[in-house]
Amino acid sequence: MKITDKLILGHNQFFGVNHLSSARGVATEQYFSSTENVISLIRTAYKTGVTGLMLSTHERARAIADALRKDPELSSNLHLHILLPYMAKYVRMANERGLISMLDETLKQATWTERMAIGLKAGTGVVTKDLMAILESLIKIEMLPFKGLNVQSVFLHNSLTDMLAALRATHVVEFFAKSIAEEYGACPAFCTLSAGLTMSYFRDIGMEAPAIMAPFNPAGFQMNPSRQRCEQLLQEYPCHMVAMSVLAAGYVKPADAARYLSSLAGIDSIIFGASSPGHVTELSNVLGTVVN
Amino acid sequence: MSADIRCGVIGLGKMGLLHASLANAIEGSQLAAICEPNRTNRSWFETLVPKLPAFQNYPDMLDAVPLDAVFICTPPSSHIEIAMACVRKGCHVFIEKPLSLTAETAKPLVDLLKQSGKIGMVGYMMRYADTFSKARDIVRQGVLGHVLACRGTTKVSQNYKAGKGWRYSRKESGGGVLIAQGIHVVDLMCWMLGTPESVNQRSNSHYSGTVEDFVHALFSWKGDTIGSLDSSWSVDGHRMLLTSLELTGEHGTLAVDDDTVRLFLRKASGKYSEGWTSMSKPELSTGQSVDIGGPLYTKQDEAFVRAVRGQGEIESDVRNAWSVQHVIDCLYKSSDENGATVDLDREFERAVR
Repeated sequence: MKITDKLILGHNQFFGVNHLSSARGVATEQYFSSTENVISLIRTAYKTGVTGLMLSTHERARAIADALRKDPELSSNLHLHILLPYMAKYVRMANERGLISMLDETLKQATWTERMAIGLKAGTGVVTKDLMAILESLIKIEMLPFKGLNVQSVFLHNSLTDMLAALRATHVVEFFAKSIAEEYGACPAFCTLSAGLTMSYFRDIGMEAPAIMAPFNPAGFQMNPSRQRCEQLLQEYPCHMVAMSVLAAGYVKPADAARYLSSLAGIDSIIFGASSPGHVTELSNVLGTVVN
Repeated sequence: MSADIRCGVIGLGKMGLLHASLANAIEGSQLAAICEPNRTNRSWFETLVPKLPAFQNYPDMLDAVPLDAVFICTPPSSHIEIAMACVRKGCHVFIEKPLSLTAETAKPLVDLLKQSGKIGMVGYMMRYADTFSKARDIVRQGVLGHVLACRGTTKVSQNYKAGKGWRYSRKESGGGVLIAQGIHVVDLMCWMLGTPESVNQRSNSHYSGTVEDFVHALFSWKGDTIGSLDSSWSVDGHRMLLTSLELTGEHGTLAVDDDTVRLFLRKASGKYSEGWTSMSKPELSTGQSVDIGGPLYTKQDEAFVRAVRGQGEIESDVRNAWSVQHVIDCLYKSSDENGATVDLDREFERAVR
């Protein structure tokens, strides 16, 4: 399975994430607390040529997934790209309870239906399980809301991708890739905010043409360690590159972003967020010129 | 020093995992050993990094593996004992915040570090955030003129019930939201304005029961500068921790949070013009080698590694953190005395200096 979508609509605006302003994020989240507004934005995006949608496993993703199922056109034609896990939830829980309790409670809190669906025995906690078995169960729980939908790829969250790259935990990277490909028939993919580190590591371990989502913008924002190094790796290492943060959290104008991305060889897809139907149409038109 | 420094990490919770990853990713350092008393946590890490020496007890790790530096990421009640053992073994130490349960319990470490010449850094990572670092430059350059008032906030939607474990035991954690999150604002205030002369605090433990969930604190500095802190981990609508600070001076007002710096000046001052100047995170970003848990952690750990290699200074050493700890002690004393004014110990401040 490969990522075929040229343009992918991001999900941050739906869940109140705004990297330029937390206050603006809260205001957008309020608007998108209506699933109808979310679906309306997705429909507009789809009509302008955005064939992919990214969704994290945020608490509200289930409602969005359910609404997509009810829309015949979107459910059959729109590809989903899942980002897992939903880190903010786990970080909050780990802050509050510690790592083991956090994972233990996540598994124990799985509903009876979820337990049946993923083959988890009643009362099973993490203490008796090894890390790979826990990861397998967590992936299954996180993927449940999207069952039956058109999932084209599953991205590992940048915090985990970059941690695994830093620790050079190759067998865990391979385990994730194998699970996603075999269990879900989807393209395993990796989000990174440390493209220099992670792409070099993937190349070192001989990973062939991985799907990677990394920041590319003319401001060099989040292009770590530097814009120059990220551009160099993009040239040298064949991969399916999904460019993210292309507007540098709103700091860069869409036309400037498009001009910059067009100057790079190797950007296969672009993911972007938008806060209104007008905004999504504008961005789809401008950024579409880069990849189409 | 040309070879990589060899780092150990003690305590593999969320912060330990982060520092272990950074220690292995940052130029000039490598992860050489870990120690985690909990068998499950340790076995998970052994699955992640199978060939790395892993220990149940830190004395065994210090005896078995030659290390240059150790990241201490255990509950606060054990920080001082472990840090002293590491320094005695010739290691530099990075200690997750808070430094200790009280300033008094940290004194032996402060003395030992002074004698040994080893580096002791404490994880006040907000000093390495581009926005707060810019705000501090503005204040220290005198752009605001004499600062009259400052107002700090931390809020996150995190705790709505009593929990288990060390975080909910004041004997092990030192307290609740003040020492876990509000302490960052206390540190930023001290970093920008110096140590206050007196404090007051009221708090409640509505959800947690054993440690405080809501804190309202007041600060007075020498002269007429006053400040306040409003800190809670039980506030709705904040999926991520929001940290903010607003400083008002004779020339204008400066508002800073995790995302932006906004400056209003009644007349031009330094390189800043009259009226509003707004600076966003992308604009202020100075870049970093990697981003695993946020750029500020990378910059903090890089500063530590550079300092251990004799190539730079750190922003938050044990001495600064000791002073912050004294402010925290006084805030809790005030809370215990129903908000009574508590003066900071001038003798203590002289000892810190």
